[in-house]
Amino acid sequence: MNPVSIKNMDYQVSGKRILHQINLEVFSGEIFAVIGMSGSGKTTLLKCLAGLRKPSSGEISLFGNNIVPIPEYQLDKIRLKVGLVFQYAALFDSLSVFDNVAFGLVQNGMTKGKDLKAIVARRLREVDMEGSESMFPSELSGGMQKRVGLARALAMKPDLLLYDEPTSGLDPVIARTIDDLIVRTRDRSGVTSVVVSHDLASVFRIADRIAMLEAGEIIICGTPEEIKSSDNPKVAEFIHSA
Amino acid sequence: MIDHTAPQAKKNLSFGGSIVITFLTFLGETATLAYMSLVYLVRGRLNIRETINQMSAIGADSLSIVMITTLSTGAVFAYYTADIFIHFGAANYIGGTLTLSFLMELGPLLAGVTVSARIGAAIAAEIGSMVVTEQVDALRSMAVSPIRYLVLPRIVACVLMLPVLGVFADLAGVGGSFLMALYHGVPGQTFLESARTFVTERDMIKGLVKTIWFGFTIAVIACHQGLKTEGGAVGVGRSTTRSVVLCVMLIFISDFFLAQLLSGASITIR
Repeated sequence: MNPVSIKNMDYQVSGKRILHQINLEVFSGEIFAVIGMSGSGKTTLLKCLAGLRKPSSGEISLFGNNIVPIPEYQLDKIRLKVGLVFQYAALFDSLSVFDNVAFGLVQNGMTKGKDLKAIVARRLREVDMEGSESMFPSELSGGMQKRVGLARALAMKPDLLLYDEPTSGLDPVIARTIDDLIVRTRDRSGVTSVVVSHDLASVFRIADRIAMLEAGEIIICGTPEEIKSSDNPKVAEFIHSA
Repeated sequence: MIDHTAPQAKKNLSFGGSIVITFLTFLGETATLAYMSLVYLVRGRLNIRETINQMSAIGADSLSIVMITTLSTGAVFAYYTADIFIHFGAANYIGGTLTLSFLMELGPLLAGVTVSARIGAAIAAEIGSMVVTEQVDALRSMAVSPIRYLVLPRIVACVLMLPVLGVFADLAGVGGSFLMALYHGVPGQTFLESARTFVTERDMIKGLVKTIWFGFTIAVIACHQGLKTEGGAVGVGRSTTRSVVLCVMLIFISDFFLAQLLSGASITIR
């Protein structure tokens, strides 16, 4: 059973087609990347996977459970297995770094006291942000915020990690650090990762397999080498223009 | 000859239809929000820390503005009425009339309107900003219900703090009236005796019942508008404005019905 399986998924908003006939399988422990131009539906696909958007039709199975017919209030058990790293980190402004990382654990009654401090410290160390517990999101740079966002997602020990544009808006050095972090996280915990990005350099560096979205449809899916050597004109144009 | 009536009628119908649909959607969504909050409250899932924070923001931070508003309104109210009462030889009715007006109507209403403008706007803006910066999605992705974490503490805080603000609004309003009546030559003893004659504790309680409803209305509407925010900073501004307008409108409309509901034996002459 694959951690992620999408079958014939459509997503529409006010009659406008955003995603059409999406079929995907993500294998356990792999880093799967979804690429495509801005507005192609990458982030929407990711939010559908996280259960934050409800597809119009089709199936999304996470760890064997089709989440599409499940109502919002019953999704919590599955959501605890999925970590989401947002494009702009989406840290809670009013909370410190410590409270942000501990948030999911505290709110879901998963740990308390000393354990909590140790877990938060460990997660921050893993993303090279140790010692930042008392800082607030407004005091952090974009790259630091993304790392804290990753630590927050990791704190819940997810089996599936979803990254939304992890390197966008970052300089090449920091982007490289984030890439290393994604690979290191997978290597350390064996977590399955889905990365949505239009940063091709980053994607070719970290992904085991890649799918490309074009106007809401998947036009190719394969290994980085297969993508690079594709003779599909849209894929070639996207790769060469990057 | 071109018949313009049919398209016009169709247009009117669709406009009317869209208003009905918008109203029913609004009603359904706010009722669901209130119901879900109640479910979390009954299940004992209230976040105490966040509720206390909200109580502080709603109560302590709004106290001065509520008192200034009602104090000056009380003074102005007495300024216009004192001369007329004295002219008709009814100075011993001033205290009762003004106190009753404040306890049953002006105190709760002004407290509600002031909190709508200050807290209703703040709640809608804060939650709206959280929506557009994906913080609400972050809550949901961590299996934390935004209704439990954001909405319920605000409803509880508003429902608990509005009556407290209502009491201070009453005190400031009556105080302002009293001082202005004194200035117009009404003896203090006459004012107080009149108030004691015309007003009972039940009148004050009826006024405070209104504030509980106003607090509930402000919190539910403001949270609903915040959660419905779309489209970045412009959307946050739109939600904030809409929240204040809806809160003030609903406070005035519900005040009319509450006045009917709570009236009857409200004016008791001992």
